[in-house]
Amino acid sequence: MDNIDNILNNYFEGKALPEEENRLREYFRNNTVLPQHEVYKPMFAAFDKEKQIVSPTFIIPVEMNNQRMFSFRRLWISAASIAAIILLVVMFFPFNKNNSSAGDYLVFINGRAVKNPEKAQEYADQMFTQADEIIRTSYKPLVEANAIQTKMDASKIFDDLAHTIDHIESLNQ
Amino acid sequence: MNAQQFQDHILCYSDKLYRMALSVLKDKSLSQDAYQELMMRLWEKRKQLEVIENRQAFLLTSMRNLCLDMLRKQPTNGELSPHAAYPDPGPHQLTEEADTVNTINRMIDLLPEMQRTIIRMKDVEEMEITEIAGMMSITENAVAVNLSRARKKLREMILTHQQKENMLYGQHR
Repeated sequence: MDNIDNILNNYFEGKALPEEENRLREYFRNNTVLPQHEVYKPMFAAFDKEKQIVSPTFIIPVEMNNQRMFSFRRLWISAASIAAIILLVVMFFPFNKNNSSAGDYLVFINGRAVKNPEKAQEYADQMFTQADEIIRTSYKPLVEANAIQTKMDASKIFDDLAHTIDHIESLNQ
Repeated sequence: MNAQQFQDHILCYSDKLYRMALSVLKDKSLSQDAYQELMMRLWEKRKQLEVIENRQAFLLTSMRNLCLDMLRKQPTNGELSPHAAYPDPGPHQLTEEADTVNTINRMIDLLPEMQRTIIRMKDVEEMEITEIAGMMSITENAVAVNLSRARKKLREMILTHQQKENMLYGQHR
């Protein structure tokens, strides 16, 4: 046991070799610790107990789905923007064909070549009118639904029923 | 570094990092906060982690620095002077502290931050002197000196505690 005493001394001096420290750990884990060394047993037991402490859980933030959604959204916005710009250019940008003179007027509307500016304006007005009609008719069911909702007002129906019951009761009396 | 790589190469050090936080902060709740904070920061900078060679040393250093910052921000950080003596346990305390392992942990917590971190890195995490020196950015000799001081101080506290215990039980016999 002199050897253990020597290793203990080296241990407290911070000079014990790794294998000597391992030997000490094993010695104090066993139940064959000599009475004079018993006092150090809780110290090595405390080190062993600390090894069992585990960390809380860290939940890795979701990266893949968000990134995909983000990319898809960006892609969609980019594609829609490009399409809108092309449409505007095609619809309203007058450009020359076959090296015609600067005074010539030519626009393509819905794939049709229109050379007359007044005709083009008229065509555009007509399209805006149609769009306005489409928007108006699209909202019509919504307006009707609102009217039905107003008509189906529960408090009004109950009030009317209450009036009718009062009237019947007054007649019976 | 994706989620799987983060799990395999970073979260595998979670227990050691959490124990480091507990050693520095000496508070379970604060240590949990520190652990979550560090993991979130690491996750946000996961691309930069790929180039780090010694991840364990880097992670332990990061955790220690984060905890030391937290301690500095606290009005009273609970640190005692490096020369503070182990407070003598009263009779009531002695009888209550049946769990000697917890008593040892309490004694280690009374050591200055550097000493308790070094003793835990050596005796709990079983790290080499060289690794500890690299992690704490001090020389190997400084690690050995602090380790020796920590172990001797701990031995002194254990022996004082035992003497008080023997006196108390001797009085009751």
